[in-house]
Amino acid sequence: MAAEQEESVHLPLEMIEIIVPKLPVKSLLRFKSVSKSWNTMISDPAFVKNHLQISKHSNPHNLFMQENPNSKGFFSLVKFEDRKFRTVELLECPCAWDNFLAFCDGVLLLSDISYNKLTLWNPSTRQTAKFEFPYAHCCYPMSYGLYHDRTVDDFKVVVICRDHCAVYSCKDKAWTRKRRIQDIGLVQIGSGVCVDGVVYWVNHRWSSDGTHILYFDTKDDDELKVLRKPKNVNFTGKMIDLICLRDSLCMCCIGRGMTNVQIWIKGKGSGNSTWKELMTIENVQTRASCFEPLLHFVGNKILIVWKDSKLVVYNPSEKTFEAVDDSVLSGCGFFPYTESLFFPK
Amino acid sequence: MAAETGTPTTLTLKSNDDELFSVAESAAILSVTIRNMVEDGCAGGVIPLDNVDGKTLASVITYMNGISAIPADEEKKKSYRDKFLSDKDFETLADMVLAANYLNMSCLMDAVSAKIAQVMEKKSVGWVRRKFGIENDYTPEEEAAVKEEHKWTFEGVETDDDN
Repeated sequence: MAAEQEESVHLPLEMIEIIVPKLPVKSLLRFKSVSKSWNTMISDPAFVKNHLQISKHSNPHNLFMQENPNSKGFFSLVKFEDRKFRTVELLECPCAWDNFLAFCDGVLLLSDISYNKLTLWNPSTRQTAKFEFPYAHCCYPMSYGLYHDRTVDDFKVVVICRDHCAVYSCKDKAWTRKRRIQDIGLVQIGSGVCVDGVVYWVNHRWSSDGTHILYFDTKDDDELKVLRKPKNVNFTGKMIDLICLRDSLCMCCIGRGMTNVQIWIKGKGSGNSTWKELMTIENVQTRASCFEPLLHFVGNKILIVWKDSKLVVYNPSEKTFEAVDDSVLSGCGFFPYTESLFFPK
Repeated sequence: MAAETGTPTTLTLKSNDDELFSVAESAAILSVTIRNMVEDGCAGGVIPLDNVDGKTLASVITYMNGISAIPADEEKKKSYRDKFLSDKDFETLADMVLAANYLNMSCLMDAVSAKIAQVMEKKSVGWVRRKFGIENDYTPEEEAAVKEEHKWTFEGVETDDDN
């Protein structure tokens, strides 16, 4: 058997370049040993970017990560298939961590209980980077975000505090701190959602002009700004949440009577504030106020998580809900996971 | 008795080893290459497909007929594609990816390339070299170093005569 003469296939390079980025990270790192040219191909930043795009757009493996409450120091990688979740792997975190703060391009941001010590971790490549947040003693961080600043090819961590923002550059390994020029009345900020190199947050306010969306874009001199809302949506008193669906920013908005959830999708580009209605999830059986901002496309259906941690799959064409076997899930710190070769240098 | 407008048109395709196949035009035009020929009026007689052998073409036609019989339901199409590719070996898949590329069938191309990636996922470095005909151009020291750097990725690899 071992001596069997096999004929090899001759696939042109363009075919190889279509197939190989569809491999998971573990296989890719192993196949760096195939030859020098395969190593060069897999290490190329353009390949890393392409692999990430494929991973993001299709999430072909329907992978999710969750903090594991049973064994502290571990995350579980779970896969959704045939309306069922199963655990793929328990991933041991490389550091003692207490808080999961943000996720972007395959990289997680974790902190210790004091918020002094931060760790970036790519579980797929098993790379880590540790650094300190030097301002924790004087200001309490309200929210975090991670983004890839393409203008300077730098991965950055942004921390929003009450009266300023702090940005950590992975390239420079240094923080810069800025007092905010504009008073935007920070009240209660949701988690940062990174889309296409820009971080977005919801700032929940109950004033007359209502809840609004903030964004942080390096093109605008690292300034926290308010994004224009869709003209035809009244935000006042409404609960909105942000999610990233197929690499676009989406806003979930609970409709009147709490029985439906509208999903809006933002046009591409940071300065672009045009919004289009994507769909309305109707006949919400659980109270819509229990809606958790976690949605994920599974084929042409949508996986929805409710705040009581129940999961359902919504079929938009038939407007029906299907039950999901989520017995392996614990319900906390659960987010869609994209595998990535990327790690800030 | 079908009305004239509803009469299904049949095309004849010829593989590079001179096998002839009849296929409904509505199924065959999943291939952009064939669709362009039909639109240019070059599909009257026999359509020669110089880069596809008979065995592969027969398989592609099975796929064309199967997938075009499924109404616009992406989930059903996906499960058809999964089933269609499930019993194909690596060599057959490689022939199909080349055929799908030549015939310009993006849905088949995506499905077959994803399937090849799935087949490769747990394979050894030696398997990839042999199957793709790649020469190992590392010195033994270089190879040991690159393997050592990613040592953990060699766990759980399918056993094979040489890794």
